[in-house]
Amino acid sequence: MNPLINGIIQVQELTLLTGRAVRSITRQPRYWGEMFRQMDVLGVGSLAIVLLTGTFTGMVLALNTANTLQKFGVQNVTGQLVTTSLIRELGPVLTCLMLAGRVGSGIAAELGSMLVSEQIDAMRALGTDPIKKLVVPRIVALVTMAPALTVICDFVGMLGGLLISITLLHQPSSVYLASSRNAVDINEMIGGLLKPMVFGFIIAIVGCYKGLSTTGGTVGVGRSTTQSVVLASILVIVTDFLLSKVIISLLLQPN
Amino acid sequence: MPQNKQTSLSELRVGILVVVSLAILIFVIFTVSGDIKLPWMTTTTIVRTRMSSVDGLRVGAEVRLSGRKVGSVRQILFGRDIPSEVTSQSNIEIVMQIDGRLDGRPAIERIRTDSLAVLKGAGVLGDNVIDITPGTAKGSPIRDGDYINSVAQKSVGDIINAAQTAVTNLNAISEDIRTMTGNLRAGKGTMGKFLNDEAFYLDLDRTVRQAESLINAFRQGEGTVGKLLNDPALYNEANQTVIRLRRLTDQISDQVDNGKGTIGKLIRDEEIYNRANSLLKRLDDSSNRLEGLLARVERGEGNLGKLLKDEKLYADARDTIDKLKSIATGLERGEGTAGKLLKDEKLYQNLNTMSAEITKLLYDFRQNPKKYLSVRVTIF
Repeated sequence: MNPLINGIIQVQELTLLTGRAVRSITRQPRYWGEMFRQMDVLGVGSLAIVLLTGTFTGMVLALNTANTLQKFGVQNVTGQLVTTSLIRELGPVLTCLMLAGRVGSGIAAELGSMLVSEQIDAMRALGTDPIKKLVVPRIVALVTMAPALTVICDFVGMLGGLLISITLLHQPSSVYLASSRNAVDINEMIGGLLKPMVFGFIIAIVGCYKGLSTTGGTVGVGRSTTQSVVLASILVIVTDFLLSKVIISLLLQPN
Repeated sequence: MPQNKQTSLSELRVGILVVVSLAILIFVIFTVSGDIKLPWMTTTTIVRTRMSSVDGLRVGAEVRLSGRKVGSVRQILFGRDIPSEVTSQSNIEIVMQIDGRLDGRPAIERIRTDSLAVLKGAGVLGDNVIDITPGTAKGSPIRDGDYINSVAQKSVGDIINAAQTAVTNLNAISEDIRTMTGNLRAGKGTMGKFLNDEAFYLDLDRTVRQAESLINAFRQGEGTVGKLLNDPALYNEANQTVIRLRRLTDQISDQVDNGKGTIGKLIRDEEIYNRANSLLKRLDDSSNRLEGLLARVERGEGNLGKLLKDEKLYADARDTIDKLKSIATGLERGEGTAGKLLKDEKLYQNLNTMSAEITKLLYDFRQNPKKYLSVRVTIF
């Protein structure tokens, strides 16, 4: 198949699935229990990797930037630099890349194996809309939990930076914290929380799409899983770029 | 999602729409913030200027109009001709493209033939930019490829040179101040003594105390000055005196007005004036005559004149005095009759003896007048 046409087909089917999922959110029945279960599984289950990622990212940021800042004699703004970087960029992107790896792949594998074992057909036969039952709870779970995890990632990242500043850079904690406080701005935070919502939606919809479009038995499940992670990650990073552009233009104009 | 092996374009309408709309969205995101400009969206005008040095200006550097970005530097070229000698002539040509819009209108409208291009640093470490001053109504609108004038901006080196002179001067001044403060500290000169000498302080202290006690004395009304300040009697008397004086002057003026009393008559009566006038006239007359007299005396006329002016009289008088002097000298030495009279003691002794004899004689005569008054009348 022509790769161009293949790409357009994928975009089209992704769009149609998105449309159907968005329409289903507004209509009965809603599976609240399933939504909270997914939040638990996808959100709380990812807490550990987000904590680790966030902490070490903050630490390495402090470590790397402090030397450069010292050259200009502004080592005092280490906290501001770490916090701004985390809130604007690294918190949302790293959290969502972790989610794409852990959750996106899980969704694709789960739905893919349900599809190849014809459970979805059975569900449909029993009168349950698989979009409402399977896709919508995952989307809702990720759109709500990704910002929450991002906030935690930002926070532990800042603490990681603080740890490095105190222990290795020998800065007083008050300097780091005061500098960090400068970075926390309402527009920064709006931008920093808008991104993970969009990313969470992308991860969920790509995972569901890849899972539901699995072909070729168990081998196809593996392929779908891989494709889901790759596509979600790429889309997260590309969207991040575009969103950053929009956010900087609209919210973070320096004057 | 079932897929057909053969897909017709009509089945891909949604996908195509989404791809196209996403492409438009991305395009709009970048164009709306003004970062990406497409050739058909802007009108690019080339403006040129010449400078002697671009000081590290690079192709692509910002061109600003009053500090707002309106374009970029497209080319930096050396002039085609080799200059005949080393001058600071402007032989680097800078080609700028102006494509920005300010407040919805093309920025080029603001650049006119009297605009000036200035090379500026964008920051302490930043790159150089070209800042163009806005044109005025005196200039005319600029055309594509026109030249505008440039102004040489002071480089950091110039500023440092100027600052160096200032620092040298400051150095000299601080040296002077140091010498001065050293002298002060050592107690040299008036100021040094003023600051350091204990005696001055003590004197000052004493003076201040004395002044204080003096002022206290004044305040308490002691002594002349104190009484002057505090005793109302003087004031009252002075006041009364003034009142009386005023009354007197009132009376005087009253009398003067009416022509009464001595002063009144003096001022009002014409007779006094007339008399005084005639007196003055006579005085004038007398003085005129006196003047004439003195003139005659001066000329040596008359007795008085001769007395004053005639040399002969003087010579005679002198001669007489000389003679008198020689006579006096003779007398002194006891020469001649008169000299002997003055100097010879014999005469005095004879006279003395004679007077004593006469005294005896007179005594005797008083005791026995008959002895002497026995007149014998004898007739022959």
